[in-house]
Amino acid sequence: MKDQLIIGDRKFSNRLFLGSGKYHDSAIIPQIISDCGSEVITVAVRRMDFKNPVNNILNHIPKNISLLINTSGAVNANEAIKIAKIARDAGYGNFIKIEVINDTKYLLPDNEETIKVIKELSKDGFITLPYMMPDLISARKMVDAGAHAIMPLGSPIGSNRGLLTKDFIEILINQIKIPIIVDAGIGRPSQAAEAMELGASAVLVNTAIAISHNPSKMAQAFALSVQSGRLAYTAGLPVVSHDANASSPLTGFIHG
Amino acid sequence: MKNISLNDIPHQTDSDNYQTLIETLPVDSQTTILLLNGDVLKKENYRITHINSGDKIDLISFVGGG
Repeated sequence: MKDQLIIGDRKFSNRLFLGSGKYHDSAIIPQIISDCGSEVITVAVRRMDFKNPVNNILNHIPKNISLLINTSGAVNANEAIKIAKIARDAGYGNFIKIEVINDTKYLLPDNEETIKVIKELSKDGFITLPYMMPDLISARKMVDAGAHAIMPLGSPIGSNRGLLTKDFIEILINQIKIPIIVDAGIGRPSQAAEAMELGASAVLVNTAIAISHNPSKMAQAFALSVQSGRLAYTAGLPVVSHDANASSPLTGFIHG
Repeated sequence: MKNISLNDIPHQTDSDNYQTLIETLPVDSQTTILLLNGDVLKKENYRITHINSGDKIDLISFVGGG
């Protein structure tokens, strides 16, 4: 059976989601997508400096990849709702990563405001993927509000510190029945593999690929690690034991 | 001339409709989202939507982001 990730009405066979920020030159993005096979990429929405316009990121994103609109920049529920509706009304779909942040030092998400956004957008038919601080009670409220996937942070955005919240993400994976996608803080492929081995449904990686000296190679490395972690999870990881368990038979020894 | 605001900056225009206005601005009209007084103005309605003095325009685009 094909190992597909289903979010709302969408199906994906690749479990590495990409962010589109921080690339030295956005023109490299099509190559990155081709290198890692990602089927989802996030973009943000901003008022433009129309006197010094930059090339719109959409000109660098292939048409066949799913755009996940990020509400980043929103500091409260109303702003996030507004961003989502602008993107939808302008014809860019209903696939939304809800990100509400009002903490400027650690960029930690506001779970409470995020739940309000999910409630409102769900009424309007959006597919919502809330970025959140991994907390089981909040995650349950997000599911009840209509979220289609939960995106807990591994560590602060752009920090490359990996799965500092591992134990709490594991609780979500065990208790929440919709996809858990680890977002933020994944700085190296081994950390992506670790998240996938835990049973995450996907990971979202931006900074680690975008700021690499060789983003193309790094995208390939992440693609392999996500596949590897997923395969290991579906195969079933062995039980950890404190004592040794011999791999070779303990009989028939040849003694001198 | 009509006085409007573009992203909160006062702007004067003699354009009659939004199609001609956006053509005078250094933006990619295909990928720019235009909000007229807070609501998305669909591209197919640019030409038939007249500009009134006092209109508040927001020009929005997608940017790279995680």
